[in-house]
Amino acid sequence: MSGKVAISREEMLHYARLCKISLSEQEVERLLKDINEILEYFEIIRSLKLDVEPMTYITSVNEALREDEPAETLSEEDVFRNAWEKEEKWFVSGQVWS
Amino acid sequence: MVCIGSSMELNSILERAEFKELPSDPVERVYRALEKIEKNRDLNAFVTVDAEGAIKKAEEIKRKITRGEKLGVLAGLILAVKDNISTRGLRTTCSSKMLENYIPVYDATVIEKVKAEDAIIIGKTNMDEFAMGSSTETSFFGPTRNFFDHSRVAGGSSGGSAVAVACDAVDIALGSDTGGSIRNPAAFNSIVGLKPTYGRVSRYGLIAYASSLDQIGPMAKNTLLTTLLLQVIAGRDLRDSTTLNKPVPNYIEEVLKEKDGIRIGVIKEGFENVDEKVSRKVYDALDILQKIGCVIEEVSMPFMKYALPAYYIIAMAECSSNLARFDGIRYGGKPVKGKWEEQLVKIRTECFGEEVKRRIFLGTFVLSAGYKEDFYIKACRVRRKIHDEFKFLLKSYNALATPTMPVLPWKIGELLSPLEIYMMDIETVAVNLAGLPAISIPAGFIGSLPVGLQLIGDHFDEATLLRISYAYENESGFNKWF
Repeated sequence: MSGKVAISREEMLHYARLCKISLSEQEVERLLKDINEILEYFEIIRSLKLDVEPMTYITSVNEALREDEPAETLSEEDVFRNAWEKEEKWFVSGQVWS
Repeated sequence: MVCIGSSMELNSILERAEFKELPSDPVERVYRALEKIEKNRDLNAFVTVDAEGAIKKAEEIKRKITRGEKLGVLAGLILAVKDNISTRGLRTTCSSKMLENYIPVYDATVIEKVKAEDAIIIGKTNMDEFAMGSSTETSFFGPTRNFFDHSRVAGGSSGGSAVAVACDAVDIALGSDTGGSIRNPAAFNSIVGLKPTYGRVSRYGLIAYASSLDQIGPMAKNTLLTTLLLQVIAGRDLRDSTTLNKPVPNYIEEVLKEKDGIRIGVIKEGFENVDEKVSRKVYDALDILQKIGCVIEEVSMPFMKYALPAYYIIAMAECSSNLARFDGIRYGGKPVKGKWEEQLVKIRTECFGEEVKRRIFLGTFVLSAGYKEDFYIKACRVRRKIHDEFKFLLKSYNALATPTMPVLPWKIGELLSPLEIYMMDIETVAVNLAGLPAISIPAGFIGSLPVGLQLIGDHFDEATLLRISYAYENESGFNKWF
């Protein structure tokens, strides 16, 4: 592990692009300060050396499976009820490929 | 239908719960609840009030009574629902601009269950946006105010549900708890709030924040109503694969059992960094428990100090993934013209609040190549250590105790930095990391401000927590404090 982790303005903009969120100049300044403060607090975890297996879930996956039985599902009307725009049986979005 | 014995038995349960008027005229009760909501409008506990739906349900119950039909165990009880639990046909916003106009097309499993037991849903309660916060200050609809001091926070994120109960607008409420969101506002408004074991209550229809931590739970002014609501919502659900196939006990019977010889371990580290006045109040509550026959001993949990940063790393990682679904195309957001990616960026930028953005951002960071091992994986290792420490202690103790909150409710807007607010979760988050049940019960007041005692139990042993709460309630009389 090298020194403390701190995010630069460029990295900040890179991660914002990954999150699909755009930031104004003011927001960049404010978030940069908050986030580096929080990351500094997270150092206590980063500096730990533990030899136990990571735990991601409490419940075991073995209990998760059920019989695959047909059941009633949402009506077409319900599926589209909250969409801003639809065409026949499709959700409408902006052009994906330029 | 939930079976908790004969209706005679239910009547006596409700009498015990100090619930004086049995549902002779549910419609009248709804009108009274609506008056209370109106009178307490400045507390901002509700995002949506469903007067029409509530009156309709009350009339249905009244017809059942007239015809002598069997009533559900929650018949006539007025219920408030946190606004991240899906209610068919009733707006569900998560207190976010993103879902300002979202109307679910299905009911969450807990909603199906409470409806089947004839609860009357009066409305949806305010919360921190997407449950990300500890004070209900991050709501798009403005903060909920503390019942005891309107200039102070209600706690959060289920602040609206807690205040709806405290101001007597409702008998019972549903909240959700990812890192303390039921227990924190319960403590700050002097009510009972239970976070059940992870896997005890279905989360189908709960709008996800951090899926390995989220849990729906009951809130009420006293132990028996809390118990009754848990009884209804607990159990396996094939639509939530994290619910476990374990029998649901008769909690009411369990609560009324003798409490002699219950062993409570007081976590030493839980009293570090706590306001001294709050600590003293919690120790006073523990004295009462000792007086009624509980064995109280001090225990240590060395890894507790790592719980808060580990929790935030894990919760943020999971939130960054869960909130990726909000693209504004199938539901939510707002109409935006342009290419898909432009639409996506514009909607997410304009419709997510600052705290939500901060958590998505940090979650994306801790999961990114080069940092995942150092942050996320290490936090998951800490999670196992915390889980193991709890399990070790719970071999010798029936429950573990800490204050619910380290401080008294703060002034709205007083805590400015996000980290300062995160620190308020120091007592509650370890429980979610370990998937354990925990309850906050009223421990008294300092001046006019309430303090909560947190009790933590073993997996699927909600009954012991409720039993201790009930015994303490009878001794302290907290159900009659206000």
